[in-house]
Amino acid sequence: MIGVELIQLTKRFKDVVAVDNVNLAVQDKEFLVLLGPSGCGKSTILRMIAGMETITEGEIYIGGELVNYRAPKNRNVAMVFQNYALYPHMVVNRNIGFPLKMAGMERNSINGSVEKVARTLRLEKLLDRLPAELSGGQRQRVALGRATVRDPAVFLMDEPLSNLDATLRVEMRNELISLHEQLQATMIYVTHDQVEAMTMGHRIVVMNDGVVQQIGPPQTVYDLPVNEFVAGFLGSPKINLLRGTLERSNGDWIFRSQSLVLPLGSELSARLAGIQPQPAGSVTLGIRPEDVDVVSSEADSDLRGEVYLIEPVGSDKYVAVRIGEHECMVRTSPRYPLEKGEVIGMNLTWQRALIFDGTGNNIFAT
Amino acid sequence: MEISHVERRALSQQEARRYRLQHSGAIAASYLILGIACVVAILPFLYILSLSFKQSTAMVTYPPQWIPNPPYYGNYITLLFQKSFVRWGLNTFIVAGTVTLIKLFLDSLSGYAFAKMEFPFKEQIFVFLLGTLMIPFAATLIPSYLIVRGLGMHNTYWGLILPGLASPIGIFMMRQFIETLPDDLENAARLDGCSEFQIYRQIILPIIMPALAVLGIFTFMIQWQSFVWPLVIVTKDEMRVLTTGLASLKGQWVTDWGVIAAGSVMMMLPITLVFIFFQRYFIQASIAGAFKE
Repeated sequence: MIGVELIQLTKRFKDVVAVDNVNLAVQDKEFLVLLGPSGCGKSTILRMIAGMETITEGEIYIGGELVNYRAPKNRNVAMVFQNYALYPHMVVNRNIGFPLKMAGMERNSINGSVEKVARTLRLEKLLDRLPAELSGGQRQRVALGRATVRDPAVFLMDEPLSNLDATLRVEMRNELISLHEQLQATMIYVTHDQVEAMTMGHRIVVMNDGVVQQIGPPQTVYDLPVNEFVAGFLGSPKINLLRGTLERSNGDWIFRSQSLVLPLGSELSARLAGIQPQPAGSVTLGIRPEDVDVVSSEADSDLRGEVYLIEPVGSDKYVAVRIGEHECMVRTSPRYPLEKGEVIGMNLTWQRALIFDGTGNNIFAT
Repeated sequence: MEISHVERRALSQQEARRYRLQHSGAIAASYLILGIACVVAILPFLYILSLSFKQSTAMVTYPPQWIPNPPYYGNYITLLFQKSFVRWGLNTFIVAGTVTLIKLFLDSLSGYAFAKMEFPFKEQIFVFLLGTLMIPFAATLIPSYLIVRGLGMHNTYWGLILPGLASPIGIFMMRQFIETLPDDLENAARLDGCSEFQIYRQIILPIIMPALAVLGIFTFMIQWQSFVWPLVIVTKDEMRVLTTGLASLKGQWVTDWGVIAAGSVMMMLPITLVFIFFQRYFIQASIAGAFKE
């Protein structure tokens, strides 16, 4: 069953197209993440679903019903805002119970529901406090409480963790995942944080400039991005993109650039053999930092380059290597001995390499 | 030449002493200036207060007696029991209170509309409203008088109240304050089931209390001290307000300054109480913590 459906949804602010012809079906009880850089239109989509933004073109269905012309309160959706949007003059108890009060529920029933939600979100001891007396994480939980208390059909979350510090963000991320499992509700979550998207979403929708780039399970999108934008947006450090041309010599595929002649290996050649039409001309070779193995410069290797930057991050060591005109980021073990200026060898995991055609599309994803 | 650790420490202690000295000098200068300002501000009030406890004959004695001994209460008794002071006070309270309440409601409602709602010609209407501030009171006095008299409202409370409501400065103030509130607050309320008026009543109004308090105090003070309009629109003694009532005590040949001083002191009391009651709102940061910091 479809929870939320967007059909040819478009939003224009005067001459600026914020959301461009978006088609999307969110399954019932699905946790869908809208991911993209700032200004890509993801929050606008959320606001249109909530009814806070008018729709220029297209249709929105919630639970199979057209809601384009319904007031926000009649859409049966709840929203958690980036800045919490708690009512500053109301204590936690009243903040959480406010939607029920507006729905005309009796005081006793409201108290019962608020207590239940407070237990779930560990807010029992904070019910008499004002928002100003709470920490960031507690405020976020109150905002979640206010959203969950009236049991909506769809939860909309607009970067709800972006104001929390790193530790609290991880904690709240896990709490949100548990909350979703507990509530079994449809959730649409907006973020620009790829880690949140990868860890929380059943599916992610990657957006850029108001256009949906790719929809799919997180690992699929990561492994097989449809274009250079998606490949670049997912992954930290970013995927290495080497510009050059693709040639075929004696049946083998060769990637060639100004400083590089790189036979593509048998696995990648086999995958390329199945592509129709056969790729040719300008291409971009994409290889993720974790798919490059550092070896000794004397050893037989796919590539050789000079280390010009080393970034130890504790669990890993990121090494920036210059290969002719190309720059390549490599992820190694933190204990791998490397010096700046050192020449190293690198072997690529060819079966995970990507090739993008002249227009930036992944030739393996079409 | 390198300086030793001990020398460096001595130098930094010297610097700290110099800073403390400069700092305490600045504090002393601030206190002195503020003290002079306080004296200048309070002196006329003390003079009036002193005058109100003197008999008319004692007012012109030289050297002047600042603290009347014994204090004379006759001015207050005359004012309260022989003049219509209580009635004027009641009139002033009714007029100032009603204008303040209605104005707070209308200005906050209009301010909310101008700050948060979309409607055709919003900016133009707002600029037009603000433009009316440029029209001097003297220019509108006669037309206002003719309108109010035409409505049969001279010598009535509504005649005193209605023109006081037509000032856009409160709308401007409310709009500026409400505009600073995040839109998500209303969006959240909308999703929670509030109508536009409920958003105004249940969410916006409690948050803008500090601004309402400021506007309320200003409005009340302006109305409390209003003189020209009540002088024009009211001719009956029982409809006079305090300002025009006190002015009427000034006789053509003889004026009892002691009674007028007593009236002035009593006229100041309510406004002082209003300020004391509302001043906490000035410092109350009402929305702290509701949004990201």
